[in-house]
Parts: sequence; C-alpha cells; structure tokens
Amino acid sequence: MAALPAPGRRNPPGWAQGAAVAFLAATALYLLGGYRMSLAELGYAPAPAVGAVQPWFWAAQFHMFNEPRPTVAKVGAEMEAGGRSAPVDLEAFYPTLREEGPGYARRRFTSDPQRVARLAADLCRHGGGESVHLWVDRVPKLAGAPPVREELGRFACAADPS
Amino acid sequence: MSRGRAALGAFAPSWAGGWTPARWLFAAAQAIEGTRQVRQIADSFRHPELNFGSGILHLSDRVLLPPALAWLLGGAVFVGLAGLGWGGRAARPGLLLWMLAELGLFAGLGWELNAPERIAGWCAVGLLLGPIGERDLTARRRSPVGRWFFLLWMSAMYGMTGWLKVSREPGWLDGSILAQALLDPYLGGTDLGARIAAVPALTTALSLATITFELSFPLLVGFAATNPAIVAAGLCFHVGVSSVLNLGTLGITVLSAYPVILHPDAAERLWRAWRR
Repeated sequence: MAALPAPGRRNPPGWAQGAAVAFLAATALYLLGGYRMSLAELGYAPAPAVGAVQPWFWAAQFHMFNEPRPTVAKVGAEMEAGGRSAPVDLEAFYPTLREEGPGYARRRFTSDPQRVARLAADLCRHGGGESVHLWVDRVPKLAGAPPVREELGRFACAADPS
Repeated sequence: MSRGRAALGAFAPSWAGGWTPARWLFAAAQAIEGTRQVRQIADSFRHPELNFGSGILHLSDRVLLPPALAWLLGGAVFVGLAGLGWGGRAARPGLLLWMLAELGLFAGLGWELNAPERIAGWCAVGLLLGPIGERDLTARRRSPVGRWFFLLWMSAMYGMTGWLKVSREPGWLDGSILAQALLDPYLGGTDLGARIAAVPALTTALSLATITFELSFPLLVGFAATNPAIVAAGLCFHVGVSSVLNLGTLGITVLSAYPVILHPDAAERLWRAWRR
C-alpha cells in the first residue's frame, strides 16, 4: 500500500490534485495534436480540415532530423553595375547563423519569391549596384554528384520589390 | 485501500533536491543562449525589412520593436536569469521575466523559433510548476506534479521523433540521414563526425541506438526500476550528440531537466552517496 505523506509535508489539496490531473490531460491532448500536425507537415497525413489550427500546435511538434537532407544550400549573390559583376559575401552581410546555417539559405526562404525579392532589395540598398543576381547551389553532402544550381533571379535595383 | 487514500499516495511528496540543479543548469543554458541573442539584436536592426525566420503566425514578417525596447528586453533576459539562478523569492519572478522578455524579442524582432526555443519553453513551464522558489530542497519533499509534467512532454518529444523515424523514414534505418547531418557544414562538420560518417556500419548502429533510446524513453522513464538506466542513456545520448553536432544550447537545455526526471529515490541515493 502506498504510504501516506507524513504530517507537515506539503501535498496538493484535493481541488489542486483535480486541477493538476486536468492540466496534465490537456497537455497530453495538445501533444497528441502536435503529433497529428507533424504527420501533416511531413506529408504523411492530409492537412487538418481547419488549416488555421496548425500553427497553434507548433510547440508540440517534435520531428527533429526526421527528413533526409542530402544537400546543403549555398546561396550566391553578385552585384552588377556598368556591365561588371562583383560577388557579395552574404555571410559577412548577414552574420546571424542558426544551427542549420544562414536563414536565407533555407528552402522555405528561397522558394518564396517575395522574400527573395526583399533580400535583393536589401542588397541593392546597401550595395549600390544596378542589379543583383541571386542563385542557390545545392551541394551534395556525400561526395560524388556535382552541385545543382537553381536561379533565384536577376533583380533591377531601381524596381520596387514590393 | 480507498480511492481517496490511493489518490493521496499517487500525489505523495517526493524528494525535491533535483529541482535546484535543474534551475541552475537551465539558467546557465539560457545565459549562453542570451549572449548569442545580444549579437542578433544588432543584426536585426541592420536589416529591419529582412527577416529570415518563418515562425508561428507570421510573427517573423517584420521587425516591430524599437531598438531601445529591444535592448531593454535583451537586458531583462539576463536580469530574469540572474533571479532564477539566485533562487529563493527571486526564482519564479525571474523565470517569468525571462519568459516575457524572450517572447517580446522573438515576436518583436521576427526571430526564428526552432527546436531549442520550444524545448526551453517546455522546460520553463515545468520549472514554474516545481518548487524552484525554495532553498534547501535536498532536505525537503514536494508535490510530484511538476516532475510529471516533465515526464509527459519529454516522453512525447522522444517518442514522437523516434516513432516518426522508425515508421516513416527509411533513411534512419540505414544510417544515411545521420551521415548527412554529420557532414552538414553548419550542423556537423567536426572531425569526429566526418570519421563516423565514413563508416556506414557505424552510422547505422548509431541510428538504431538513437531510435531505440527515443522509443524506450516513454516506456521506461515512469518506472522506478528502469528510470535510472534510461536517464543515464539519455545523458550519454545528449553528450554524444552535442560532441558531433552543432545544436547550440539544445543539449544543455534538455539535460537541465534530467535532475528532475531522474526518479526521486534514485536521485536522493545519489545525493547521499555524493555527500558521504
């Protein structure tokens, strides 16, 4: 038989025990919801019927290192002026790195034309050229295959990126 | 035994000494993270129209905070952590201040919210549920509810990622995803990692060991007999991962929970053996 707590030791009163159980049950449900959203995000299950709920389960989505990432993305930039081009050192320009590298090299950034245009506009503003050329090289981590280049575009600096 | 007595038994106070090292470790991990964030504040204002994150609810679309407020919040992060580390009456307000300041920085500067931040958030809520505002906890017994919260979310964390690996991703069964991570120039790139990645049998074995640990954790951590073994395995896992992958403060943040999730009886025995 489980021993009762000794007198004088703190133990939650009855109402607090009920509240604690309810809180833990709600947490468990939230974590289960996170698992469902992870399945959807990884493409293993259809998106939830009410798509707007998905971001709210972000904190309970634990899929770490689950997807294959055979390549590393290296974003390249050239500032063009007067028929000449000069390379831009993006890592010096945007020094903040997360564990997985620079934010502008992530697929969700490079696949978003609006964000890429904003990157080009920011480079124009600080670099003073006529246009900026952006691309991403997907370099295989395992030796063998050559890198694959994806053009992100050539952006005129005078144009309004928005 | 009546239901009431059974419920009291389940809620019986347990040795609380693990909460103090958990509080210290968490404060230390977040102080290290805070020094990185200070540099990031300056970067955010150099390019205020351009954020690279894509966090929850489009919070990361724009820089919203004025610089003075951002630096104030950056300072509040360290004030809060100092209170948490100091303990006593300063611990809980310090932790709350840290949480609010971090929320303000991440939402207001459009910073990316990733696994380290979400795990730090779960740890912080767990610490709030524990007796972190008390001193001399090695001589006290307290409610187990805070520990249950840690067991719950950590079981979900390990179980979820382990189950997704084994059930959905063949690259975890042949070791190729681990090799890719070890060879990533940002995440990996260590000499030791490159040597491991060069031996497919080793990456396969380490991948299977990872999955075994992650799937075993929720099954074994709740029982007094098996808890110390799975906690020791987790300690080895995180130290090993941190030595070959650049995960920032993720490892030390997760490990800050380990003094709490170690079964209180085992933790008390360990404490008494160390004191002898």
